[in-house]
Formats: sequence, structure tokens, C-alpha cells
Amino acid sequence: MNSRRIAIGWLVWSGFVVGGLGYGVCAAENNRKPVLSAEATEALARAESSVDLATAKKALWTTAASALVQAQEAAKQQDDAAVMKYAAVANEQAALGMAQLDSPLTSQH
Amino acid sequence: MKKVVTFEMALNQCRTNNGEAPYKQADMNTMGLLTAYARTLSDGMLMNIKVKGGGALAAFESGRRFFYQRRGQLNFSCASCHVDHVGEILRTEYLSMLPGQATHWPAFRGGDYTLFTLQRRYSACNQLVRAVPMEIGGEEYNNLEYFHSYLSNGLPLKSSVFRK
Repeated sequence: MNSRRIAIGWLVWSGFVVGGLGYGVCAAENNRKPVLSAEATEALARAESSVDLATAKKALWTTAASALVQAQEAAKQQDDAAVMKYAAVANEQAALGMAQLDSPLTSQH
Repeated sequence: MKKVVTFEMALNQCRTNNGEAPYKQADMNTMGLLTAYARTLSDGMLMNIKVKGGGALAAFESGRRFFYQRRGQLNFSCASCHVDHVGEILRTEYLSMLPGQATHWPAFRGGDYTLFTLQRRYSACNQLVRAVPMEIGGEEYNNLEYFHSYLSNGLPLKSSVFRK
């Protein structure tokens, strides 16, 4: 009889302990800040660098500047796909703006 | 290296020589208003820009290059509209020709309900072709204004005007 009570008590307490551990793990997972992927971080850094360079050369397009802002906003939301998408636009258009400096002048009269 | 001195720069120089703080050139409520009044004192006089000496020529050439240089996502130069497509209609307005464009600033633009100096207009044009504009009062726009004003030589000045 006594051993039966002990067994039931052990089962009840172990249930609390296991439940408590499970809650702790979930809470830790919820508190952990999601991290931007390495690929997205690299794409954002590359875009920022290209836009800085185009700015220094006074060849930045407004579309490149706004794409970079969108990429930075997406990074705050930890949205990898959006960061990659907007960073690629910013990077490409910053490069096009700089390449435009070498295009021939339009007609001169 | 000598640099272009615009009318707004001369006004600021006058202010600082008299112990007053310079105005920001992009501020239409201070520099814009002062320029709007001061330019009326030259109404009827003829534009008379001289390009003499190496420094002046370099600034003039820099302004000319800016005028014909493509910029922005739309890949337009100033000349794309104001030389190649003069007289055509864009956004309900006729595209104006280059001579005479620099004679009538600042303008009060009814559509925007605000004052526009010539360089503010450059900035707005650059934004329309989706290029990040240069600094108002910076060297690029000063050189552009120098070149641009030269092409209105002999035409009468008239400030301040209203445009829709």
C-alpha cells in the first residue's frame, strides 16, 4: 500500500518536473531573437557598400536608395527573403548609376 | 582653385560681413524670400555672364557636362528634354528651350504653393528622372547655373514670377 502511494506520488511529481522543463524550453525559444541568415546579412552589407560608393560618386538613383531602405526595414523584421530581394535591387541599381557616369553625353548643339 | 559665386552666395557674404548669420540656400522661407526680393532690383537688366580665365572656363565646362550628362533611372540628361524635345508637351507643360530659362527665378509655383529658386528647380528635375539630387548651393549646381545663365546672355531679367 505504502509503496503504491510512493509510486503514484513519484509519477505526479515527475509529471510536474517534465512539464516545467518543457515550459522552460518553450519560453527560452520564444525569447531567443531570430537571426538574419548569413546570406541575407552579406547581401545587405554589399548593397550598403554599393549605395555608399554611388553616393560618393554622386551617381545614386532614388530607386536604389529606396530599395536599400526597404532592405534595411526587412532586416529589422528578420525577413531573409525580402532582405535578399531589396538588397539585390539596391546593389544592381547603384552599380548602374555609377556605370551611367561613363555613358556618352547626349547631343550637343 | 577659383569657384563660381552665385547670387545667393553673394547675399550670404553680405549678411556675414554685416554680422548676420548666413541663410541656408535650400531654405525658401529665408534665402528664397530674400532672393525673390533682391532679384526684382535687377528687373529689366540684361543677363551678362562672362567666362574669362582658366578657372571660369573649367567651371563653365563642368556645368556644360552636367547639362548633357545622363542621370537617374530614367537615363535623361537636362538636354534630353530642354534641347532634344523642346516644344513637346510633358505633364501638361511645354518643354522650354534653354535660352531664357535662367532669367526669371525665383518662381512661385502655384501647383506646389511654394517658392522655387533656380537650383531648387534643378533638384526637383533630378528627382523627376529618379536621381538623388545634388546639394543646393553645392559646386555641381553652381557650375550648372553658371553655364545655364551664360546661355541666357542678352535677355532681360524678370523676378519674381508666378507659374502654375
